[in-house]
Amino acid sequence: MGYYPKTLERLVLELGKLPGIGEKSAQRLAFHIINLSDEEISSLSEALISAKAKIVLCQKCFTITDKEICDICENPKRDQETICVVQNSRDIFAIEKTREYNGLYHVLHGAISPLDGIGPQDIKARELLLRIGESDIKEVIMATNATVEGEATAMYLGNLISPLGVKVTRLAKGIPIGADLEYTDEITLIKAFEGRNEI
Amino acid sequence: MALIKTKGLVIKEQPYKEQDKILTIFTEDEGKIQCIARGVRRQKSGLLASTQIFAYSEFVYYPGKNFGIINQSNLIEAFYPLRNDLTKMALASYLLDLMYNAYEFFQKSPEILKLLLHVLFYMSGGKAKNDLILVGAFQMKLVSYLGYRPGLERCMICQDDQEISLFSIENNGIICSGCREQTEGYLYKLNPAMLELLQDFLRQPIKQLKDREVSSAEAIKINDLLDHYIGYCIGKSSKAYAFYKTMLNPLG
Repeated sequence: MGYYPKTLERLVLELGKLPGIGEKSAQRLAFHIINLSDEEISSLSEALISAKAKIVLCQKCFTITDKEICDICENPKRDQETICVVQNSRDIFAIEKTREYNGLYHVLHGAISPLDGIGPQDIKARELLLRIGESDIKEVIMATNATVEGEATAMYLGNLISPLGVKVTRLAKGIPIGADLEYTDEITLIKAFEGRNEI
Repeated sequence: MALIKTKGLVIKEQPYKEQDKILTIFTEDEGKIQCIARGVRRQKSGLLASTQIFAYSEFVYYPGKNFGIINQSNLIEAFYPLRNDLTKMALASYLLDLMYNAYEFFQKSPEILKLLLHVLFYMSGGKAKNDLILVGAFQMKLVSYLGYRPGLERCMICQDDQEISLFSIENNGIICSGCREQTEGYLYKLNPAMLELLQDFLRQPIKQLKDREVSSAEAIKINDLLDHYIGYCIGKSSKAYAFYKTMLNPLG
């Protein structure tokens, strides 16, 4: 990359470190950025710096927020008796897009993984149990990923929460919308049969 | 390059790029290999279930110098019930970790793969009296297969078969009370029942051992001993075993 000015080369290098950005995309973005007006550049750099400086974890649910308590936890119109447990904050945004769920959340920031040495003490499991103990929660929905680690985490937490007299549920598994039955794997089909509904 | 078709067990997975995974697969015909599974973190990927950890699948892949590229895969067995019990999952993960640590890439061992599949089958199906026995038997058979079979009949120093009370990691087997002073390094105390169990791990098939009843405290001691011994022999310690030990007191 010796044919670029040093400052541009550095910008390409930094942009190329972002996930999903290869060298070509980094170059495109860099050329776009140097062509922005001074106000646009200031706004972009200010947004980057303030996002990094102000984003913290909500003290109740541990999602990312720019306040002490996030908007969802603070909203009295949300169902205060239901907690949906997710692995990371991005899962909350996915569920919120559905507009189907109106309860609270709890972000674990990972899943139990023996092979990676991630145990219950490395995720926000203890915080979840404390939260359930301190408030009047009636149902905990386990919305961890349908991977080996996600399933084991849900089962492990479920076993700890159930004795507290709280209903523990797990998101249903089944055939994705628009998928052909013949291409669906056996495990998903078994789970779809197990979770079938009356119509 | 010609496609390769083989059955194998996914023993490790790492996320790669946005939607891909790098899988370490222990295959029947090609040994331990690494493959890139493209797009398998997408919701609609047809390879989703067959490329998860613990999945025993039939893989079709393009071989490469370092990484193969998965072209097709069909799930044969997912050992799904392992996900429902964290202790079982931790123990099963330890077995995968052992396979990963014990073998080099492209090193083959279809017999040990078959043994591991049997152990996972019994473990996930709840068919053993004590899962720790399955783990101990696998540890012993694996280390023996790798060429480090421990001496369990006579004292490794004086060759006497009386008053055997210790297992010496550095001496690769049992030693008698009289030779205790002559050895350095880590020693494990053995009672006659533990010694008999270690010997049976060598002699008896898994099918027979799964019905063996033993106290969990004693079985854990044997597992600890064998894990230490394997680590000494292959020069690598298992992260998953350390996890299992911390899990016995999870939130403490």
